[in-house]
Amino acid sequence: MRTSIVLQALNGLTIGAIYILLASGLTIVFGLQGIVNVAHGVFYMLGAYLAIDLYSRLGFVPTLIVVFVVTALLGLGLELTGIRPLVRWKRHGIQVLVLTLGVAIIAVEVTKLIWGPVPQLLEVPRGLSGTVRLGPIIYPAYWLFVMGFTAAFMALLALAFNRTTLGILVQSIALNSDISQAMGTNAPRINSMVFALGTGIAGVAGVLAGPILSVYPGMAFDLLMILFVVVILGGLGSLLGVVVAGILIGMLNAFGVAYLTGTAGNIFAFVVMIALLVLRPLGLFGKAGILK
Amino acid sequence: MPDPAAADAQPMLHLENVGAAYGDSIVLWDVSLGVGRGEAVALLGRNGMGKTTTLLAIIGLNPARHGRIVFKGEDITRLRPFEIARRGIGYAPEGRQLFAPLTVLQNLRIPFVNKHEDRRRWPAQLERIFDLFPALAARRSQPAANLSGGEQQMLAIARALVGGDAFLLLDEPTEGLAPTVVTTIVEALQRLKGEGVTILLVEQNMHHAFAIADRAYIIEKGRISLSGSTAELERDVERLQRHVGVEA
Repeated sequence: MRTSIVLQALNGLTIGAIYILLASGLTIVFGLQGIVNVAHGVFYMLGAYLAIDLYSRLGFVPTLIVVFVVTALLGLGLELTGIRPLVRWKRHGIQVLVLTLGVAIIAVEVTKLIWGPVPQLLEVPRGLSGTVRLGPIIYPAYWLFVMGFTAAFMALLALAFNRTTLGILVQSIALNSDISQAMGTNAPRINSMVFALGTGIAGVAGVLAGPILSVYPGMAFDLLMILFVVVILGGLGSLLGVVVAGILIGMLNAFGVAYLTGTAGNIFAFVVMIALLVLRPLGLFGKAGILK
Repeated sequence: MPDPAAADAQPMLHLENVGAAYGDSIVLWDVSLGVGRGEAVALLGRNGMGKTTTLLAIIGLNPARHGRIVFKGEDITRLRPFEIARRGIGYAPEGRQLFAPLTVLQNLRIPFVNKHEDRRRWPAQLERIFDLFPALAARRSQPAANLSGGEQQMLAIARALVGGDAFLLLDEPTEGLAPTVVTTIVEALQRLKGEGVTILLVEQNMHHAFAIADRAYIIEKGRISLSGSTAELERDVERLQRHVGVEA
């Protein structure tokens, strides 16, 4: 029984790691620009599909890098041509939501045309395809790698936001964009860079998730609702919140699936979100506009 | 003291028939004023008369609907706020609006990295700031939120100075401060003026404004109703109070 609990906890951490990577991009963009990017899942999906094509030719690490660059550039294109004009005209609510939803629907249909609608599974990278013995538990090395990668990446991200000059500028925009600009900060350019960073991270999450979850066009939307739960639960704009909420929802998912039914995880996740929002409307770590 | 006539003839900052609004609500009507290099000019008026709106139009946070704003000979009316700031205008907004969770140094670093290409000037900039406001030196690693009201105002002015050591826009820098702190702020601004820094100062308190400014404009219902040297205006306090009712 204890072994089973530890195993499910590890599964929860792995799924949580994917949630954390994906939700971090969403929450950063929201914290900075106050916009909800419904197309975020598209970059996750594109990352996974690009990896299917690139992995056998380039290998794992180059694939991660190329996917990050490509999805970041695509995100930059979306920000510059679609979102920035709407933000400039102070239409960053429902208009951005509808715009990004439209982009997501188009992208999913185009993906079906290019890669087909049948789910695929991305190969586990060579060198990470074995197992690791953790006491009585034998666990896939790749799943542990995903956890470690996410932990290292989030630590780097937190360090970048809190210790670098660019991070301080990003924080100043999140705190008060107008005043930051009156201090000379080129907020539109930094917003674009951060948006691209968020979509790039989503692409990387797609590459990492490919060998764990299956790759199919609907993945662009399937994780989106649970990501909103993670972001809202953690507190909009809070990186620490995303980490805590991502782990919590990952655990609920793993234990729900293992001990109840396949949908129990989702039910638990939304129940916890609703209950917590009633008690703490700003989420676990939510403050007005701060990236920590 | 700079010659007001000369300042008007070749101002560092010049507003020409500037109008501004919030949505459909027009707040400024054809405001024209000039600030000469090295001058300190006060913009006085009651609450809601358009003082802050004038500064917001200059810095581009509420752009002028019509008219022209010229800084150092360049039309900046349609530039974005960060472009205007990078021309060398330092801005201390009403209510300080510091980045509260960031430290004193981080607050100062933001305008510095945005406006100075030569990063080697950072230590000299800090030395100048801490010489002007020694209270900030000991608090350099503290979050701005932990500072007293007076220290926060010093930081707001210092932040403006780091970003615009030649021209400062100051919105009510003495508002809500204890008399001893007001003295410190007024003395610091007098010192900056003495060093050749140009200042456009929005104030409700005529006494504080006149302690710093060479000239003043009075704004009423979005229009300049009176202007002149502070010496002239001080001689006619009754008229001034009739026009403005500002605190003497």
